[in-house]
Amino acid sequence: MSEAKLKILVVEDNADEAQMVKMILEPEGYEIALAVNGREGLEKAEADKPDLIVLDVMMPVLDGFAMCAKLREDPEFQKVPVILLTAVGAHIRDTKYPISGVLRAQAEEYLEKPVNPEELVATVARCLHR
Amino acid sequence: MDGTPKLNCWEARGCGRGPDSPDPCQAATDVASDGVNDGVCAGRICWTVPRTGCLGEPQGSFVDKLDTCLICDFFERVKAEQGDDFRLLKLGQGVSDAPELHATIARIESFLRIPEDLHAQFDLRRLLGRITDQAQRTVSAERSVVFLVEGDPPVLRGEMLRAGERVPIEIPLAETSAVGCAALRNRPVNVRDPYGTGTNPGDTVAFNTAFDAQCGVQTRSLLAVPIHGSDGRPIGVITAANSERGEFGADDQWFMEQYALQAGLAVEKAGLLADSALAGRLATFGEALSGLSHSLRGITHALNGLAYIIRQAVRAGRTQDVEAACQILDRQVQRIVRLSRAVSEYESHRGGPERGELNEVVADVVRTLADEASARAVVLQSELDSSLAAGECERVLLYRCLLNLLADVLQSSPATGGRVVVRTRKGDKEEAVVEVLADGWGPHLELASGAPSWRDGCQAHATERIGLPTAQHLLRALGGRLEADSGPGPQAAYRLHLPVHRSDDEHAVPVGVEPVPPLDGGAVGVEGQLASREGRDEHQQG
Repeated sequence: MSEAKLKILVVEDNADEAQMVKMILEPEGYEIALAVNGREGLEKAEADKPDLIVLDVMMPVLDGFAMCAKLREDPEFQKVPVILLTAVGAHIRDTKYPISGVLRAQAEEYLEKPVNPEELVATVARCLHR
Repeated sequence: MDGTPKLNCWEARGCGRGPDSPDPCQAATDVASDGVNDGVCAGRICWTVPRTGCLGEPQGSFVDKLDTCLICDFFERVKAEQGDDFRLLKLGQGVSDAPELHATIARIESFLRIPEDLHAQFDLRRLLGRITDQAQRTVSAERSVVFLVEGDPPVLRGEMLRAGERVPIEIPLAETSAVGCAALRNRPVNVRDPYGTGTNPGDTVAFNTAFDAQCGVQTRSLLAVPIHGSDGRPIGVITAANSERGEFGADDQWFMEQYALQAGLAVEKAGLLADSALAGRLATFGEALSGLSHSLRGITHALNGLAYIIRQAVRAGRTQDVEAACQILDRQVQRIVRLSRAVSEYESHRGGPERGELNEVVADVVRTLADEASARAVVLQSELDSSLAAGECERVLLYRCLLNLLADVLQSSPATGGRVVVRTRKGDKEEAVVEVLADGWGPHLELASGAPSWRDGCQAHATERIGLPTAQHLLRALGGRLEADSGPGPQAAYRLHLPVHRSDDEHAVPVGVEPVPPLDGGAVGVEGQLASREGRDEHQQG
């Protein structure tokens, strides 16, 4: 009997970038679900119970920081690893929101775009203890 | 800040709930924080205290109030007043050790601001001065010298300040000195006791005392870190040295190495732009690249990923993946083509000012930044007044000005996207107004903290940064003025008042168009050009 695949939810509003992350991670043996904003991400997280979530930061409707913070409020998702994947790093120096966002979001990892695909694969594996 | 009293929050706010009041606030009773950021109790680190009584209302926990606290004008004020000694967190806030950790946080925060400053500097000589200052600050050294590999045969040349004068220093590119070793071996050299014996454990580097003779000092510790060009070869060495203070530790070396990576790229770029005419022409590109940072990161990210996907898919024979990746690749290439077309349209021309229709320029800037806005989930719209169709102004300057302003506005947009509207309308007399309305943060924080970008005394910094200060600099060159309307929290409005000319007035000398002063500071006084919401500003600066 084959082992059940680990589920990863990718929340990214740019369709091409979401597809790309899917195409990088799927061949590694993960089952990938996509969502286009934080609100849809929360709904899919609730429905799919992913083992890990890859989150963009800047998204319409509900951003990655806010989605991550909401996930952490739910005991069911407090331990689910979250990887923030974003180009916002250019102004993380700015305390207007990124630092507060990172502190509050309690994400496991914070990868700055452009991300090295090997690094993404390795980070996902590390978070899932594979 | 000399002479300015450092107020505690209850004094700045005037709430009357200080330690001696009958009903002291939580911040005024937290004696464990006494002295932090030079305050009484937690009066200058109140953002870490749960349930404070700011603005007359009880606040929530540390996490609940973090978002509002970190954009609070009092927070910004303390940060500005404390400078490098600012402490963001206190013991017990998930931080369990002593002030060294706070110092490290402050150091990292200040370190993160460095690349932007470096990469906005195009002049090599000024850049080297900037690197010297920043390197010195990065490792708290008494002095620093930047050496570049120059000449044939190559030597290491640098300059140091002695009695207010720049003294040239030349060191052979050989293993006869620590600096030469750092360049030749292409790795850092940390000399801990240059006049001792066996003082550099595990290293065979000897300190050349001729270095001190040249500089007229006696060095007690020296850190020499190579700087590389983009091909990885050393193009120079940054040194930090102490005569009175102690040796440089592993942390110092790490910071200096990271700093040297940025410095190497900036030096290489400035070297390429040594021709000032070329630098002028490329200013548009530089600003556009900075303004499109999010978009370009997205494209690079996609290209990186796609190359990997195609490689893996070809190996595994997954033709469908190759096909899908190629389709995405095509779209990314189209994005690059669109961006480069939009930017190259406004490359600075050598033939002097060139007039263009105001509405057209505004539309072009919005078009250029459409991809960037989309990458940031921001809706960027233009509403152009058709009655201005005949209004013209210097097109490249206006393009750059708006590009810089909108880049700043987009950067300040909330993470959940936002909306930015760019409007044109007629102003008084021969004037047009370009309005930018945004639901992100405005320059309120700069106003509140007296940040250099908006205030006197630091114009050099103000005019070299890409973004709002540069927009203001260019607007002045256009003979215009800027008004900003911004209060605490989101929502900001900017109004650019511009002199315009009628397109049928072929012989008119553009009114108010002056040659753009070099971006070297000192030339642009911004005081008085900024009109802001009065009541709020009085409160913020109180």
